[in-house]
Amino acid sequence: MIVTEDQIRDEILSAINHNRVMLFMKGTPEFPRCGFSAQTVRCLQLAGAEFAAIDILPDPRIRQVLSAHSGWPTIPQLFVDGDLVGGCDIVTELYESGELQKLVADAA
Amino acid sequence: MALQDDVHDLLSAAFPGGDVQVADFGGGDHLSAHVRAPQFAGLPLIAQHKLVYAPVQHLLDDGSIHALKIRTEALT
Repeated sequence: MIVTEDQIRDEILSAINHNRVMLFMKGTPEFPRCGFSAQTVRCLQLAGAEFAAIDILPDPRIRQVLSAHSGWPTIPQLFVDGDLVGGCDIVTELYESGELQKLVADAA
Repeated sequence: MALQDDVHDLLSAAFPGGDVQVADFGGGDHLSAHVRAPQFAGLPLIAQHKLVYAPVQHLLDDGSIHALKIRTEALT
């Protein structure tokens, strides 16, 4: 089946809108394929977050469409309540300051 | 010129009055940037990091930079 860029965009926007804590990453939470994605997953897990995840690696267009939408150039990207929170550095900083725990608790 | 120096110069030009340190943490294309600048005051982290990405966006897009760790601090 041929997937168009519009379909990819719809999938991404739907995932962001329907999951209060939504992570776009390389690999899966069980098998991250990048250290930054792995660290972000770990912060979310330690913060007690329930989150959905999409692997961006299977199709390069996922990342292109996602970054065009978010204005954020790198992966991972964490969205909470539809808004971009940030990548690995920001999620780590928020976890260390205790703000991530509040953010995902409010979103739950 | 090494990528690390390019990134340092681009960020220094983008944050006049700020202090920029760029380090290589692997292979010359895994970089970390510590930027202290007055422009960050009052901005959420996401906006601060976007300001750091902007001047080096082209180097991320063309794959020159594989990873960029960012730490920001507002100078007051």
